[in-house]
Amino acid sequence: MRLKNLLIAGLLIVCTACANYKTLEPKPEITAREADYTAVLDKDKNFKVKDGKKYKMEFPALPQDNTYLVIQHNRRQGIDSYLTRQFDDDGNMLRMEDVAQDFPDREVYQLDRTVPTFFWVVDHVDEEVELDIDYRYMPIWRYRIETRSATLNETLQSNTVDRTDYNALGVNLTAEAMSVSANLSDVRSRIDNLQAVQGELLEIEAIFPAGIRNSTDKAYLSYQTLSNDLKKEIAFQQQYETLLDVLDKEKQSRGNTRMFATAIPDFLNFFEQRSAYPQGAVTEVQRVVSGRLGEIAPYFEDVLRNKNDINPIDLPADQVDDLYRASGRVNDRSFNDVANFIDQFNRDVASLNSAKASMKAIEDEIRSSGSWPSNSFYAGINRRISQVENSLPRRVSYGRYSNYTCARKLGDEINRVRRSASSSRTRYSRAADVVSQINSYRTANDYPAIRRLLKNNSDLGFLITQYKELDRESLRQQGAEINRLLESGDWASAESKISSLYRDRDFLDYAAISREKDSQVKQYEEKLVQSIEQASKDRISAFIDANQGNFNNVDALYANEAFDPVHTLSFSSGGPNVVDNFNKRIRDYLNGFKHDEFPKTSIEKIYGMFTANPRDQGVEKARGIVEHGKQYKGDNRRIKNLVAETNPLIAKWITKPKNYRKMYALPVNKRQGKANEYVFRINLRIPSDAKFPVYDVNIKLPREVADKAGNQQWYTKMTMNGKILKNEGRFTITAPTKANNYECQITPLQVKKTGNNILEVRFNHDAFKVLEVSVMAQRPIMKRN
Amino acid sequence: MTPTQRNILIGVIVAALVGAGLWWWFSDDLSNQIVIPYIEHQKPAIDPHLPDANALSDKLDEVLFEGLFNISANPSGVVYEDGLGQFIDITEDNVVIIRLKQDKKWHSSYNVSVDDDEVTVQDGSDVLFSARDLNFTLNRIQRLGSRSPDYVLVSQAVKSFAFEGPDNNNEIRFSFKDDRIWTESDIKEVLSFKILPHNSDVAARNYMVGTGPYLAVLPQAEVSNYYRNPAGRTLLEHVNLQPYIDNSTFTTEFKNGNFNVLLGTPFGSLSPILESPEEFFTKSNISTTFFAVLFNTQRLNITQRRELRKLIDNRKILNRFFKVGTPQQRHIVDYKGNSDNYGDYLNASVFPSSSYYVEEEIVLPQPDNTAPDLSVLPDSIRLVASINHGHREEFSELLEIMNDPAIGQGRIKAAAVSNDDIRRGNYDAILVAIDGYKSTFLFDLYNIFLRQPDFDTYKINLVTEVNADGENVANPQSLQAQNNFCRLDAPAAGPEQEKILQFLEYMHGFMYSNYIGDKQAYARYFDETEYELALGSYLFSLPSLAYFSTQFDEFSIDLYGVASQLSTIEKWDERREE
Repeated sequence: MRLKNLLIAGLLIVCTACANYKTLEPKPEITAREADYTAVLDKDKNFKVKDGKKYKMEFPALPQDNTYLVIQHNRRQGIDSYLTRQFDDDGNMLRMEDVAQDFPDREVYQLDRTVPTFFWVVDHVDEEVELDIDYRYMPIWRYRIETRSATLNETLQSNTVDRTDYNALGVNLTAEAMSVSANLSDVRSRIDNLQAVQGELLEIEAIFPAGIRNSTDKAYLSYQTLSNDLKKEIAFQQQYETLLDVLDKEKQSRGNTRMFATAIPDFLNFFEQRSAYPQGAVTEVQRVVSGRLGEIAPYFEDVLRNKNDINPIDLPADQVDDLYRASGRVNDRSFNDVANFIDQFNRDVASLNSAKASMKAIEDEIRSSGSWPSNSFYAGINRRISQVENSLPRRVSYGRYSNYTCARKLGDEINRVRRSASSSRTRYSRAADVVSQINSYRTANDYPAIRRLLKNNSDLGFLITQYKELDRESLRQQGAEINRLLESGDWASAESKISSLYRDRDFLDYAAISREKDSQVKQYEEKLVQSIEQASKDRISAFIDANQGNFNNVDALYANEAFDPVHTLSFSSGGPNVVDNFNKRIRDYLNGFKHDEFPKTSIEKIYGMFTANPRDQGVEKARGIVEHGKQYKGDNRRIKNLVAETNPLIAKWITKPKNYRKMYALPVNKRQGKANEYVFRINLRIPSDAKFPVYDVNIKLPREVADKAGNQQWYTKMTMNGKILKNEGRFTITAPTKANNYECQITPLQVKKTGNNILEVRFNHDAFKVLEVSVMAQRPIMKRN
Repeated sequence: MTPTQRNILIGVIVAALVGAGLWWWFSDDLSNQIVIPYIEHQKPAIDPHLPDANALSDKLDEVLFEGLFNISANPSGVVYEDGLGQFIDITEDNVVIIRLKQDKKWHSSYNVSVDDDEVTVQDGSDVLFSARDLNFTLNRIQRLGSRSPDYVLVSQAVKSFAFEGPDNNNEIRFSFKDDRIWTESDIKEVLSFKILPHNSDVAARNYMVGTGPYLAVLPQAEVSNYYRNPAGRTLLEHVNLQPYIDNSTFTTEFKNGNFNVLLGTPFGSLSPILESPEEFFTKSNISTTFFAVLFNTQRLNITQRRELRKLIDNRKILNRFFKVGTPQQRHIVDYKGNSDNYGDYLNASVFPSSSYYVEEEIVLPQPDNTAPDLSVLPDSIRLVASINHGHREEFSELLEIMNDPAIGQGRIKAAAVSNDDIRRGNYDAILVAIDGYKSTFLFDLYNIFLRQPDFDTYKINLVTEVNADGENVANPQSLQAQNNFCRLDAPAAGPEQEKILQFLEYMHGFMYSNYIGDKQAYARYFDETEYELALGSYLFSLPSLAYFSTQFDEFSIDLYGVASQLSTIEKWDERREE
């Protein structure tokens, strides 16, 4: 183990020897704490650095912000050194900013807490030297105070103002004798300088640590003294600047009353602070200002004489009045006259504008009040208009200023507004009556009457505007009625209403509403046809669900109204073709049920019941199928075959020889009797090479029919293509017997090579039921003997 | 009694004894024999697939040949018996399975010798029936086409004239048509055609080798003899044909015991000399002969033929023929038990009244009883007949009747002529006997209208071809003036040509068709066309009455309806004393 450790240590030494930067390891070690400057020593000596070599030294970080690491050494110019957060032996390192500025023997770096250790790096050494280095961790505020306090104190002292003139003004120094403008400029310059110092102090103050304020830290106490002195000097200079400023404005405005009037707020501001100034200075300012106040009234009258509008007069008559008092001068009469005019004019303008605003508000309210105002709406409006009238100045007179253009115009405008209000009141009174009637008509949904009333009062344009929704409301009302009729299934009335709506031209603004109306008509038409279609479909579906498979009284089923549309359309805005097309479409749809779906499904269902148990009402079921079959116009061959199977009068095709074909013989008499007449038919369509085919036809009969053949002829009539077949001559109809398995043979039966060969057999039977027979045809052969 | 009287009596007795002895000595011993007379110069030509003018020819088919199945009879009617085949089965797809009998010997397997009427039959080399023989026979029938009734019967049933097999079980398979349910009886009926050995000449005049109940013995002098097939179950040993010049002596010879079976009497009537039931018994069946007067279309135009047809009153002729109402009336009986029902034998159409086509009203003849317009007829109508080719008795009688002015109204000059005259067509009309006609579906029109007008031979002049539609049709060459009794000439242009061509078409259609409906329709069309063309007068049929010697057991002989008289010959037996 020991050998192993030695080996590792050896390797480390070798690796270290291979590094580009040599590490300087101070003894004692670098300590990260706020303290005074501490020497960096290699034990008791300074470190030596050689040219061409590179070095690094570690400085631990402090646990707080706003800290500088100050490295002060003797060879700042002979080496290239810097501080970095991340050391790289290849030299790729970011240099931290050195903020030492005016201190050439220092390197100053602002530390933070981004890394635990900073590296001081020496990249280059000019020549081998011994490094005399001190380091110090210190807060920035302290560093600044320590490095800036002397300079700032010096600035304060050099910008402090001389108080002589200030104190002498009004005592032994007049405003006229004082260099007001020069003093003002000087004071302002000083204020700027002092405020710059104050700004730097505030920056330092911003980074004071939390517990410094009540401490006795020297640096902090130094800062406090400087700061207080600075504040006092700035306050004085600003006060002095105000005094100088008003004196300067008075002086500058002499011969320019307008300019003087403009500075009135500054004069008033000064007088408000009079307690802060020496009495001499206050008195001197009163003297020079009051001497100027006589210029104001003429100046005002001149301005008013040229005023051509009725806007409020924007002249500071009130401030002038205040300035009279502040300057200790009694008001001039001329000033009072013009001040009163200005006051009266402005009050009248305010009343007028208020009335106008009220009228506008009323009109806006009418406009924004929406449709269908209540009966009291216009009465309320009129009360407010009366108030407006009352708020207007009743008599307008401005004395000697009455001829001023602005005064004259104001009077005219007041009169015009009064007349307008009166006129509006009259019209709104009429509107109140009209609204009352409209509301009455509306209750009765008599929109045409409303339209007539409004048209008769068309001069009340605001009403038209207010009832601009009337046309739409009329549409809505008619639409609602149409909807109600549609929902109640009153298709005829609904259609009539739609037709009326289509023809309706009686609107307040037909041009504006026509497109919407036409669109609405189309919508209702569409809804009507959809409703008719849906109702027809629902009705037929319900009918079919209820009657599918019904085999009794089938004729009546097909006469049911369900096979007709719930309503036959007679109107369409699209014209007769649209009507015809729709009627045809719905009728085609229903006919699809009448002549396809209903008979088809009924036939299938009844046939299923029929074959499942032919003995149970078999005849009725078969007849039901036949009756349904009469209505069936589809092309489903299977359905047609089912019908044919159960219709004894439809000949069953026999297309192949020797195969027995089962078929049903059914009674054809309407009701069951003692002897019921049965029929079955076959159509011999067997392909044959013979030119004149002949067949033996074998008929397997039910035993109950054939059993009696020994006593009487079992059939009543047999025909071939309508010609009666008789058991005579060469023609033989053999009797069905038990011995021949109740099979009757008809031979030889001559048939047509092409076309139908209908063999019909009729027989009587006492039962009224479905009988099954099997028929086979085959070619007879010639025999030798 | 005086001595003279006694001597006379003794003389008579001696003479009687001598006569009896001579009669016994010279009379034939017909025991164990079936002896049938025939016209010497009309030797039967035996072809089991073709009809012949000589009725006996067709009857002998039953003697010599067998089919896969044989049609026989018992007291209840027709029965089908195994012949050369055995019915096995019919499949759902109508394949008929027949097992061929492997042990059936052709007659040529035996060595037959005759010495003084003694026939000795010895086994020779076995020549056994095989499928090859059946194949040969089917091919021959197919080649014969409509000339052979077998063609019609077979072609109506099978898809082709061929079969599959035989397999290891010697079973063959016929594909039957799918248009009917084939019963076993139907199948046996269809397969009842007679089978010839494969080495036979396809176009031979006579076929003598069969497998039937009797084998042919080489003719001795003028006699054709047949001997019992040793392999069969035939009861009687001999069938001999006895030659005669004509039929005028048949009844006498029969009474004299020179033969014991008379298949047809002159006039078809009962014979007064054969009335003894102890010696003879009769059996009737349906007519197979009718008399007709055929008109020469080269000498009589259609108008004349129509008037001549009216002139020939067959009822009058019939009554005269049977001497009805006279003491010499020729009495008749039929197989249905009717007697003297002469009117039933009158024919109003080329289809005899006994035939299926008239009987079943397929053809509805309408006798024209209006008076003939003699003005259009020649002054003298030459009606001829040959009395040397059978039916001498009947022809002689008929010629005499025809010459009677009451019958021929002085216009008919009837005469017996030579065969040469007939060959040359030297007649206005000719009296012929149509022998061996069948009243079944298979009534033969060729025998009447396509027969070469030469009684010394029998030739049917049918020429067929396949038309553009692929149909087998008759060529007009079938009817030329010199090759038929009516001297019809289809190729020759003329006012009647179209009708004659139609006549030929319908005749061939009738004979060729294997569908009943077609057969019936063509029968109607043909009858109507023939009536329009007025080619003859079909007089009447001759009753078919056979006499048998009571040597035979009457109950062993079953003749039924329309079947050949000899179809059950193997069952005939002699009467046994109880």
